[in-house]
Amino acid sequence: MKKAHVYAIPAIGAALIAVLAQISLPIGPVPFTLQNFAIGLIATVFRPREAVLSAGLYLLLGAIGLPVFAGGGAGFQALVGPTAGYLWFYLVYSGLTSSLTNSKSGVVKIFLANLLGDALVFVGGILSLHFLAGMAFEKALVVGVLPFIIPDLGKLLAISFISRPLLQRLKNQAYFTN
Amino acid sequence: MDSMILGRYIPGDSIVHRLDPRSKLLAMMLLILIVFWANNPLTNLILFIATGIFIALSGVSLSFFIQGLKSMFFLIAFTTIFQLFFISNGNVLFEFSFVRITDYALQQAGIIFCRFVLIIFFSTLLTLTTMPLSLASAVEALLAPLKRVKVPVHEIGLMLSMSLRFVPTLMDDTTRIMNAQKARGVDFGEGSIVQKVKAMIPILIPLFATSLKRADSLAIAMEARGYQGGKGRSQYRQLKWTLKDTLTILVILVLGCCLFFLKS
Repeated sequence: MKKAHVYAIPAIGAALIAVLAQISLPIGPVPFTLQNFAIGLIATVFRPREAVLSAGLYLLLGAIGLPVFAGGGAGFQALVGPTAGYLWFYLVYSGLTSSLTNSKSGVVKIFLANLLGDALVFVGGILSLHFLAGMAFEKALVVGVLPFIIPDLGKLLAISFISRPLLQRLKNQAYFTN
Repeated sequence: MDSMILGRYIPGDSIVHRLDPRSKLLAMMLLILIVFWANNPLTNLILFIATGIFIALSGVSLSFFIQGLKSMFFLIAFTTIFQLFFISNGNVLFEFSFVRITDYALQQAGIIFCRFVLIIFFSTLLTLTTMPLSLASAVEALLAPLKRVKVPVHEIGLMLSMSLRFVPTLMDDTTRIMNAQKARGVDFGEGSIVQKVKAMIPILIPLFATSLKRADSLAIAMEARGYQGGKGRSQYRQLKWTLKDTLTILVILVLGCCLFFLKS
């Protein structure tokens, strides 16, 4: 791949995450944001290097003030507050999931890879709730993980079933043929 | 889309607006570090006074800062109340059924609350008084020492600027694609969860396809214009560090020293 391409892909990937994170589906009374859905989709579609760079650039975009985090959040407080662990572990999620999948992976493999990545995001959430908000680990688990398991499983299923047709249609793109 | 390009920037000509973005970014990072040293009422009071002065100097209305607090309100309230109810050290002030509040829990809850508010204020002050593009330059500049450990600093700065440029474009693309699909009969707001997820596919496929094509076109255009990587490049945007910037950092370092010695 040529030099400039190496930088253009992650930049557009970060912008994609930022845009997708703003879409919210009105499911029930609570808006269902797609922030980690977007991370998972990028992790599934891109290769490891581009996926991790996209996630990292996304965090930087939010840090410097663009309202790109879920719900229009922005600023450095998102990266040092009690929920910062979720955001930082998106780097781990994107790296791990993109390492385990490729453009020919089946639905089951995509689901399992995203499940593993998403579980690590919860680990990050527990860590930041414990160290930055002063919660005991058990309490952090109860309030920071359990309520989100069902919705996140739904997102993982959505990622798995959307990725297949997405990868099929994109296979002629220069990124996948190089 | 202007709101996305500007982030949360509020145009102004205050002393804070005119500081070099590097000194502001550095100052904010130092202040966030200092906040974690503030663990008693006196140190928190000093920090609040200092923060009040900084906000006044920026000339930005307090309502913007309150708005920043609002978006984090649930989290602040939740964590503060959590501290109040679950810390059991210290003397009992109030007890009823399973609820038990001690003086130590009250103090810890207060400190956590102050910490939250201060961090949000510092961060909001930075993003309200600095353009995202300036902050991207500042990030690249502050990452410069990492060049010595082989971190590709120029490339990170480049990708950050490119991302900044792409976000409003892709936002427009998404809107355009959604409207085009609506015109062809796709309904995004109705149906079961499964149907709503299926409705995402006609948005995502064209969005990814056009994005990857755009990245490809951009890369080709860059190379056609002579881009060969970071080495040997000059820079159009120049940041100027002035005496005001040095004084700002010194003030914050002094503040940090005071808090360090006053912390319990």
